[in-house]
Amino acid sequence: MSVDTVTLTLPRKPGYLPLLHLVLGGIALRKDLSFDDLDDVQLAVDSLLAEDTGTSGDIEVKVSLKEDGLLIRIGVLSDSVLRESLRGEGPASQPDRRHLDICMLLRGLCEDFTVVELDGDTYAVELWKKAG
Amino acid sequence: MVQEPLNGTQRSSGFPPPLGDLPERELLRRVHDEGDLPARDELITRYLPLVRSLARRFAARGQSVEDLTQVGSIGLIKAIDRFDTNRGVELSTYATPTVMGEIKRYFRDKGWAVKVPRALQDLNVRLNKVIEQLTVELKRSPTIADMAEACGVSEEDVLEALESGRAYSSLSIYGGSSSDDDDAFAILDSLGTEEREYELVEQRRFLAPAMVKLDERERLILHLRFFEGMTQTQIAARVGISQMHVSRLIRKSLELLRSSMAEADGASPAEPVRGAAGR
Repeated sequence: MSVDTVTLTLPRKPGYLPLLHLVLGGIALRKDLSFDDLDDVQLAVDSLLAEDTGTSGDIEVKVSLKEDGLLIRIGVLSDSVLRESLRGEGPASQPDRRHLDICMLLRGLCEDFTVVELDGDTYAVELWKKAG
Repeated sequence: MVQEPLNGTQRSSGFPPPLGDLPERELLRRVHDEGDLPARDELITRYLPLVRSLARRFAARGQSVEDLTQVGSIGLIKAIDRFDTNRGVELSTYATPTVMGEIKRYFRDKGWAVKVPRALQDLNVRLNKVIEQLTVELKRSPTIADMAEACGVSEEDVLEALESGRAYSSLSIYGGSSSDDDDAFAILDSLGTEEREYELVEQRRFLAPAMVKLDERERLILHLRFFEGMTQTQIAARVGISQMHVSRLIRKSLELLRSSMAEADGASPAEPVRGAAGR
């Protein structure tokens, strides 16, 4: 079965986030996501990007419309502390660290997330959001 | 012989006491009965610390305490001028909501952080109500298509209006529209002590110590969303505000926490891509 996929490359600048939100909204339409769920997806993506301190390169977003939800891949990320946190090796028990407990946020906003290693020290994060 | 006015506030020496020595009631009486402007100034001076204190509560929302104090002072003057001395309440009781109302109005008027077409602003306001209505009718969070149909606009219009709403930094204050301010104020005040139980857990496990920078309602909302697993719709019903407002408060709170933690860590927040939450 074919899976519709939308790929978007954006400059790493805050001014483009609304555009990303609109695209995510347009895709969410196809899966009949509720306003609650759409806002969760957008916030999850925003949270990830806010936590990533990488400053170079574009943001690459790939959204796959699966039968029962959306798979959203966000890259290219390079923040090593964020990666540790996402892998559960991070500072969840060290409240004075700068990063929020991003795992808790993502788990609250999506069904699942996975770190996907890319070339060099970079990686992407896949978010899985179930529809309905 | 010149008869001295019999006024309990005068000293036996015959010299009128300095205004600073007069009780508040007497100052208010002079303001209202005699139009005594120096007495009015004295009241303003006495209550400026209260105004500053209230202004500081709003300072995390991007405006300086000085500016907000000035705005709040207008509310204070209104409170003094409108105060009914026959009512058995203190001026502070009356002035506090008046000052806060003035500050909230200021934020509301300045709320649209970027230029958004009027039609989108209006649709955003409409959607706020429509989401609530549809949530009750459908017994679930509405989809974009549901909202579009209810408003008689395209789905793209709905998306744009929702996104434009993020440009509206209505703050994590007391409601997004003029009509719900008073209710929201009451809601904030009514958050009971039972809701405080979560604080310790959160501060130990989650976003400590920056959580203390959030107000009680913001902490409650984060707790309900991320610890209790409640949806925005459920939180909206629980707290008594709109779903859109819950969304804004969550974003605002997270952004504030990030900033606070970055400051506490002594790190300049590198330039991560931050969006509406920080606006």
